[in-house]
Amino acid sequence: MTDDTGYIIERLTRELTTLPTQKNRCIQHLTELGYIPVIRVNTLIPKEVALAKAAFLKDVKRSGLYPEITPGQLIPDDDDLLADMLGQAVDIDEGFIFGRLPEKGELNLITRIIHYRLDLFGMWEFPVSNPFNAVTLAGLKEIAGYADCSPLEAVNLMGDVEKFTQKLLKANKEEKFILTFKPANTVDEPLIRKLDRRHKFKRQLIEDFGERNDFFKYLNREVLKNDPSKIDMVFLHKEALNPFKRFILRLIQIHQWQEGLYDGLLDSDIGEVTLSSIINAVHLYNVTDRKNIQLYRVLTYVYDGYFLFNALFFLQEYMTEDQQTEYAADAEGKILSDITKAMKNAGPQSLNAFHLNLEILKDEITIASTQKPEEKKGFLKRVYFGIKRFFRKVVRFSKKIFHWIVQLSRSFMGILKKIFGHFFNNLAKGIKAFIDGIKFLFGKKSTVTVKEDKVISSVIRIDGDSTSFVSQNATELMHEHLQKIRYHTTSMIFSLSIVGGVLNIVMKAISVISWPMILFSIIRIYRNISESYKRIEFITT
Amino acid sequence: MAENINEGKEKLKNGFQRFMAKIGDVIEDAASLEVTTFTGDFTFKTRQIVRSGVDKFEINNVLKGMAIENQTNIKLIAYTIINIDADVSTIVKSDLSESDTELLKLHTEMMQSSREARKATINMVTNLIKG
Repeated sequence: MTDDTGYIIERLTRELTTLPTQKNRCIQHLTELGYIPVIRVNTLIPKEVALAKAAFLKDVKRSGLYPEITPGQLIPDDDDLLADMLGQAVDIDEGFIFGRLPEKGELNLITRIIHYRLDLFGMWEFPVSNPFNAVTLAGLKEIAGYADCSPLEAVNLMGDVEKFTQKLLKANKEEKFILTFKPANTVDEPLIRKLDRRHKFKRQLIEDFGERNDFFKYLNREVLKNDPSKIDMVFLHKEALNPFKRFILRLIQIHQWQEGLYDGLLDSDIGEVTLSSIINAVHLYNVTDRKNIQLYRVLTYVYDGYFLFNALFFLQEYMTEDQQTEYAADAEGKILSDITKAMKNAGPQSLNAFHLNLEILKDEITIASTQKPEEKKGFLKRVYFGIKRFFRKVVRFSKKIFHWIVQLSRSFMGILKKIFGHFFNNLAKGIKAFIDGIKFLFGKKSTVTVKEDKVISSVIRIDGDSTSFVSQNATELMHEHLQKIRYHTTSMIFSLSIVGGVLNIVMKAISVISWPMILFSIIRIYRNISESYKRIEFITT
Repeated sequence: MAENINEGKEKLKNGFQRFMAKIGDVIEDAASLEVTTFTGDFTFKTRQIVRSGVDKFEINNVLKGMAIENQTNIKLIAYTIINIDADVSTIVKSDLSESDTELLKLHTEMMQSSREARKATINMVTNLIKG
């Protein structure tokens, strides 16, 4: 390579070292799937992680859930691929759909995914690594009852939270979504004062539902009273313990968590952190949709620590509209394209602020990625890594993202971190693929299989010429070597597509070339091409 | 990302132009593809490879090493040239032993992979031209 081409590769390699790591994401997902016990999380040693990864890969091979992945790819050290596979297993946007439930006593990856989903929804109190059993079925039947479906459908619905929410809304009467809760810890007085809107909440409830049934009648007449001493506290207490309503509260916590608005524990306790996330959600949608929805539309403090929450409005207004978004099919592409456009049209000052703040954002994301998952009060503190539904939601803010970064708007930091956390992950993979492709281009890649003193080595050059050497008595290595060659060839095709795509964009704008432009080109091309490869990366090491 | 947006602008420009030129060189050679399979006794080198880490292994280095050490016991198992018009010529070593015959399977697989590699290269160039 010349000095200039070497400079590009050296700078990309340097960039790679500053990007977020996937290692801790793997640990979180391995814990969520029960390969690492939650109680071990705070004192994990590397050997436990290695064993957990090996156990997961063993289950992957038997599961049939990843048909596009070849056995040659299943290397415990490849954290990127492991994170993607684990991410698919714990996905609740477009999670795996199963055709049958496991048999009782069966323990495999599917059992773990079912227990993981039940655990997420607060319906599982045992180790995720337990075999499928009567308690599993009881949990599934309870959810099936809520959603008016079969236990198998319940499993699949839990893997698509938006669809699940729509099903729950359809299967249940309105009053089931008027929830009562009492946070486990005392909520600060100023927040209580801010949320104490009994009268307005009542007026809104009458406007929405009138007194169309006994529930609303009772709520209006015996609970939402001006004089707190006359409030029926027994009713509130009973309502707060209603299992279905507690389940809906958990569902809301999950929605908030998925959207990057809530990063507390998923514990069904609507405390201050969850309350703040709900307030933030209303504020965010008001700002972006130019609406003026007041908090009392959603919730009010009642008395003695109890709150009322209109989950029907909240879920319908904010949580079930994604599919209708204009760019839902390619939300991520739209966001990338809007940021690129804004970069092109921005003045030098904004552009510099954008680059500078993007660095700050990257540092914060990278530091967060090095923080190990934590166990707290027996719960795993989880970060939500899914992005499909999230992107469908945030696409409506697409045109504002560039400006949020220019202003480094702290109110939207959670959302920005989620968006760019994903982009930086793609950038890391894209850079690896690009460097890989360049190595092919310059004939620097060889495939070697070695055992003791035997070796097979092959080089395929980019023009298609190939040379192989097989040492004496090395034919026993052929099967393994051929597997590597097939993988190597696929990775070559993938990497060359990345190189071609990036060159295509960069050469068109060579006169205004800049490093950020190159990086955004890599993100875009990597995304487009990996989509066409069913999201599986082919990067040789 | 860079502290300075214009950092190394010229180097980036030249570097990408050089990548394009390299693709141009490659496409000239893509008219035919050659697949070659050798066997031989180079266990000494194998040990060396294992010691120095397989990732750093390059065939050219082995060949150079063998030439320097006057080690000539490398045998050609098969050589195939495939022209872009699909003409294929293959030379195969006579009196193949049983294990040599096994190596022909590797040779055949390598032909397939070579074809795919060339196709990927041609696709990349086509897409670059199409823009």
